[in-house]
Amino acid sequence: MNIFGDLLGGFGTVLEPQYLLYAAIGVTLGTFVGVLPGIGPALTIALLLPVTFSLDDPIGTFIMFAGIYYGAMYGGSTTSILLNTPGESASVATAIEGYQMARRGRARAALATAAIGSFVAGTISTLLLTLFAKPVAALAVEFRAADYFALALLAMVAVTALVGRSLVRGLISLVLGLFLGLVGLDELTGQARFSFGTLELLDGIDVVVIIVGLFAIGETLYVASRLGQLPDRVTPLEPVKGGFGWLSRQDWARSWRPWLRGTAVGFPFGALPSGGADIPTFLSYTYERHRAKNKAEFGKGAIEGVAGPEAANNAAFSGVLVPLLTLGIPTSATAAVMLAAFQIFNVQPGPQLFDKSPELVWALIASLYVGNVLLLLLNLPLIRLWVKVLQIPRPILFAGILVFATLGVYAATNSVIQVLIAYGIGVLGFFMRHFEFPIAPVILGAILGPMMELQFRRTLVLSNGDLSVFVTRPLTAVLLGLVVVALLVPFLPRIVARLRGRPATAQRLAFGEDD
Amino acid sequence: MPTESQTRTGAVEPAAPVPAPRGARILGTVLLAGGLFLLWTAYRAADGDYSISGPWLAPLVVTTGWVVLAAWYLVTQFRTPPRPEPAVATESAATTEPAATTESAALTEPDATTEPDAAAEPNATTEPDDEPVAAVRWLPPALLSAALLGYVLLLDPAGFVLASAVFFVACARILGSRQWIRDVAVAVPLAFAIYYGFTQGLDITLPAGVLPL
Repeated sequence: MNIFGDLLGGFGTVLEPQYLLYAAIGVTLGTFVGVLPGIGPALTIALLLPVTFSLDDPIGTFIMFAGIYYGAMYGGSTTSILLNTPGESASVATAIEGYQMARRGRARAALATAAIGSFVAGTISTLLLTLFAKPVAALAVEFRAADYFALALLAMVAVTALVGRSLVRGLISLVLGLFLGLVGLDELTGQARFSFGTLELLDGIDVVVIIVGLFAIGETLYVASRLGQLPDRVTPLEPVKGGFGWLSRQDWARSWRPWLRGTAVGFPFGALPSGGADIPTFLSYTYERHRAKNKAEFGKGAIEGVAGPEAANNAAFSGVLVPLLTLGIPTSATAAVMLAAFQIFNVQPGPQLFDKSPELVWALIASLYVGNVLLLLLNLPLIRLWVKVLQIPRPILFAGILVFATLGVYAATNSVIQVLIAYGIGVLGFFMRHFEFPIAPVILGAILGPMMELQFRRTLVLSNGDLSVFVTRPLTAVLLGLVVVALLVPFLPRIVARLRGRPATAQRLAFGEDD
Repeated sequence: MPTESQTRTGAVEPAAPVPAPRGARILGTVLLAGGLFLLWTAYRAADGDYSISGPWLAPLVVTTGWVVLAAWYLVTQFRTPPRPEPAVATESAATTEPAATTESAALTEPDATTEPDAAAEPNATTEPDDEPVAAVRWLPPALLSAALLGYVLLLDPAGFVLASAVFFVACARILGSRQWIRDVAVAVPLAFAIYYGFTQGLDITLPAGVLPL
């Protein structure tokens, strides 16, 4: 049970030159793709998955993925600040104040507080992950099939209910995802479900196909329907004014508390099945605004409004890794893609992961520390390069995204039909975005649905078809109770606000849209 | 039916009539029909096998849920939207909505006015979704879909490089680019770079097609 011995071992692996190179490549690629407007971390990983197919080294690949993820997050904050186009809902809060700071000639300060805040939050939360992962995994050994069923249900319903504006639309998205997850051969009986007599659908619909379709194809079609309505002027960087790391003494003084508070909110929310980084970033933003001495500055570029949410965003990622690594349950769209990546390498996250492949887990965790340092070293000095990337003309950019999306699916499946399925899902994604349906529940439904069904049936096989196990086992019953609570929570702020005679403005913000 | 609800909507809010959510109603109908079809598919395939640990419980539950939710959605689209409270709406939008930042930016920078934000405001108070009022253009996405279809069908016969380069240029054109030379100058090297990068560097086979590669 010596965590720090394990971690040191992980560092020993990661600091080998070849793995450092993987980390550096991952961080750079991730930032490069993440900077592109409209691309969030989930799509970044999905688009870069084919790059890893020919690597036969899972450790190197996961080190790269950690780098890609962190890079994509940093890149996303750059885009939010300079262009006001957050690639995912977790950066929306950053964009509010960050873009205003940039417009008032404080772009460097905004970028610096985001980068350094992410570094601080990333490091602290990775430390927390290091401390919590193994004990949680030890607890998770006690989990039975019924608990997994309830947990998967909770993760799915929580994301749907807490993220997004309308419960109906969220649930429809979820059902859509569940349906996509059902297509193909049933794992237990081998019966074909919803394959409509075609061979191509027997294998089911790959998560990569769903993600690329919804995010890349759907997003591009959506942009095409609203040409000329997107901001495409990059806010220029002001000349360096001095101060350590582009931040004046005053900026540092105003930033460090929001960083720590953002971390404190981000990590637990990330670790709980509550939809990843969307809620903590908005909570952090709302909290900083309430606390601010100079409230009038909010909305006009308050540095606290960038520092807090960015820290929360980063901390939430390490938090999301807790259930992902220890239970194998993804709680955000990005985690779902990470899980898909794990499965490509036949690595099944869960309580056994820490016993079966400790070197992989600890190398991954160690690479999170290393990735954080690399990003801090890369991001600020290379900012001029990232601004150049931002200035790629939109038609070229989206044409490129479509080519890479097609390539990604084709390389992953080697089948024209799968590419067509991805296109079809893309058209679906376009209409979903048009009618403001959230995207994240589709992905979680598609990946958690089959998992849930398997555990449900496994439970019933063990109990000889007796359904009462779901309520007699305390843990399961509690988790199922939380599902009901999660469904009621969206209505709570409204009710409370009505009682106070105020509209539910603060909570409204916490309902981010798609991922 | 739609006209009746339209006038009712107009009566509720005479100053700014909420546009009839026609698109959302069509969507709801399509969803409902699709859900019923899938439920019927599952029901037929289950063929009486409703055992709770069998393979057909999940499909039946999911498709039933789909039908119920689609019906719920459709009903909300036909219901009169609740009376918006104008003072509250503007206040909430001005203080918290992310749209508000763009909006305030628009005051000083008229070019930056983005229509969807203005359209999103009624949505902030009324639950049913209206089609965004902004000029949504249907031609570019339709053309883009057609281009994608052509791309994937050309992929095997014409080869990755040729299909990608042609598609890239066409796609940039659809998305508003008017600089042929620039697009071609980007498309051709990019297609070659990807082809050689993936086939040589990453050992992933891509169709060579007609070009002697």
